[in-house]
Amino acid sequence: MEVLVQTVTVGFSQIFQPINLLLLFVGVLWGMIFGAIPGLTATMGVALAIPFTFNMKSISGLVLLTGIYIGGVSGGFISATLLNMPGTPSSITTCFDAHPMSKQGKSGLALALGLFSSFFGGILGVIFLISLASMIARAALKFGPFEYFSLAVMAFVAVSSMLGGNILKNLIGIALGLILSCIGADPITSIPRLTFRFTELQSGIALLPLLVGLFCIPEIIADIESEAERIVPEESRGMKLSEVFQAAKILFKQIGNALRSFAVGFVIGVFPGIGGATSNIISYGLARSSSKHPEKFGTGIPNGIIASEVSNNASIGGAMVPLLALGIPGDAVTAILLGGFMIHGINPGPLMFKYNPDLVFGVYAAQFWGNVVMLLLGILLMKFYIYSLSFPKQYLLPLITVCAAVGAFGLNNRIFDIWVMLIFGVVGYVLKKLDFPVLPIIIAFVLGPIAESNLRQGLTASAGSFAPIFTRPLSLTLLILAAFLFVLGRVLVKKGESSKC
Amino acid sequence: MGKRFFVMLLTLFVIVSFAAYPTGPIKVVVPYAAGGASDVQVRIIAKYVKQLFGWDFAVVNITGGGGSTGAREVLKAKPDGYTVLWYHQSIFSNFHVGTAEFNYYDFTPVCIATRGNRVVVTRPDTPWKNLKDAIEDAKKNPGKIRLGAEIGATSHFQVIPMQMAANNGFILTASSGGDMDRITKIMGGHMDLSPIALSAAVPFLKSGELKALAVLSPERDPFLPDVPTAKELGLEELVFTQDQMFFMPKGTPEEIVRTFASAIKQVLQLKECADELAEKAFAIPMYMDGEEMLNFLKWEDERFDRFARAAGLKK
Repeated sequence: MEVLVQTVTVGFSQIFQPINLLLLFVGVLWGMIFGAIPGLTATMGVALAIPFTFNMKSISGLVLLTGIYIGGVSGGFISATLLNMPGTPSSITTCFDAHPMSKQGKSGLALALGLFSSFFGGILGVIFLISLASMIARAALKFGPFEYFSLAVMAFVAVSSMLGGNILKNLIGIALGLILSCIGADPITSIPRLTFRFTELQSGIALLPLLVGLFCIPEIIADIESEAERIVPEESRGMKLSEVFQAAKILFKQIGNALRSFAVGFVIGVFPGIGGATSNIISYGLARSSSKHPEKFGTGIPNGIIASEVSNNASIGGAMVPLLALGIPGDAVTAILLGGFMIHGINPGPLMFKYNPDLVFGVYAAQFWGNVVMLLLGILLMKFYIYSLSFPKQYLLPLITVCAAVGAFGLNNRIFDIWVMLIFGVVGYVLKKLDFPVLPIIIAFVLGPIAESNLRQGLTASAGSFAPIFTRPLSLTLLILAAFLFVLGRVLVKKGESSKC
Repeated sequence: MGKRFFVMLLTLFVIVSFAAYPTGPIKVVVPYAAGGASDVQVRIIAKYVKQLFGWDFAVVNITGGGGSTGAREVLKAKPDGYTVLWYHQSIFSNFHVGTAEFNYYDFTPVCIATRGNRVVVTRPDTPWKNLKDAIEDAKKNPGKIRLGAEIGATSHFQVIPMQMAANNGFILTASSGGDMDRITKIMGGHMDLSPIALSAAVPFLKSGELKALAVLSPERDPFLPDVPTAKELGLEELVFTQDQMFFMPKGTPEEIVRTFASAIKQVLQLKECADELAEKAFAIPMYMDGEEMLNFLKWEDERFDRFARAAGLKK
């Protein structure tokens, strides 16, 4: 409570200095642009901004970077909705319902739902962050390698049991994802695996080029093939204020879905290394499995958009918890944020609360108002976004392709990653033609290494004994939960076959 | 006559082109993520290089493979002084465990710039006062105490002498993801002690959430004057520092190397630069070049080789 009061008094007074307010707007806008362009992510937006903060006052630098983070994760729904390309890994499942809805001529409502869901997940995440950061961070420390292993198993089982469609194809996809994730240095011994003496492969395949390759490139090719002159029709209406209210109304009608998705996103965010890509997939799967009409998912219903966008923004609050309370980054973006903080001579963690409390409250306030700014900018600028994406496709598609390549290159500054993107673009195109789902590949690629690395770390600590997986209470609880979700998933998939997730 | 004229022209060309170095931004590859200890240090140095000489350092982070991915990008770059690697002792560990196929002699070593110390930390509730106590405890109760390291990385090499001193009484516990991961695991009770970069450990030592058992440097660390060195505790072999150095691709002209190194030397003599390195990265300027640097590299490399063999890591 005391923290909340101080955030309001100390933090908010800092944010409302004109320069910081301006930086917050610039940051959120910058982030939303990065988020909305396929291939450019929040991570890259923050990384590129860090040098600009060198000569700023600490609080101004933190405000700018926090704003970019919030805008970056939120912006992903724009391209997911209008182009059917996830702008960032956190908005993979947003495509499933937002794009069909947009195709039905309801772009405005689809975008409004994305925007309002992002706002809801984000703001609730900040409130949880402010009131519970230190407590949650301590609890998360109890999670050792075995608990992480069980958590990854649970997420894996939960998501994969909910995959509809052909079981054989799903299994092949999962196997493919696991094999791809094994390429590179062994997570424990660093010995190269599956690199075929090709040194470029020693650091493995990065998620972003793979994702852009599998999801965006096939979509770009499909757009080239289509007869339409524009991907987003010019007459596609802008977003009206009434649609924002309508979206808010729908969200509050589905408060159960929203709160569950929030919980999934926030909790996943708290655990370092799991992140937004996982959280939106899991909450989409859960939303579908607890719906009375699972078969409608993937056809353009609000439920799916809400699940995906609430959870990915909720995971921002979650990922800030270990960063601020312990100095441990929760995902790729917070890892870079940590760097931005350190350049300003600030060491996040318990000491920050002691020595720079004003900065902590500043970050909290920036998080809170960043979400408000995101909502405002979204409403104001959505027309402009739609306008710029409704350019004739001969201009738009090359531009998107270039941005995707820049994004693939940018995170690691390697030309090799552009090749990875292009190769998986071709693979993704072939898979699409074969009606082969790519989601199982991504899920296995993301979760497989978390499970493997933690299991093996755990085994070194237990001197080779598997027993702790079952004897440690937290770990066992997660496994039981996994079994429960598996059964639930299977029952529900039978009920509503044919969906995407 | 013609030949002499040609040689003169060539010499003139060479002088002119070297005198002009650098004419554009110099790409400095940091093989670790933005914001890490390596990254922060080189960005501070870059700032003062810009101030003093007007040179632009374009700091580029290329992560993966324990630093070897970024190093490899420099290995195959043009030897023109416009691509530089900022690296530390991982060059030895990566080579001797087989993560990388190259060693320091595959580059042109330019200079050593800074030194950061390593410190062995544990939870405050463990019974040990210093590293010696922990080792004795492991000797008496083998298979009970979990000693953390990232397998194949420099931290692994740092625990090999500890393990040898304890007659292999520790359980060697793997981590992944560097210092922060091991700090988290120690705080959460999933690991008992581990060597960590001072820059990562200091905030937790100050807040009392971690306790220091030994500094792995030849002398006591200015930031932790009360913590004994490994040497004082009788663990001669356990001197490990983290020295940040510049490398250029093999075959870079000597003039360029000298120009670059002398700029770094002058920057490190600035008090503001040293202060900022201390404040933000807990590192001290530690300049070495030429013969002196080569001797140091050779000595370190032989040690890493010896430990890799002793622990059966050598492939």
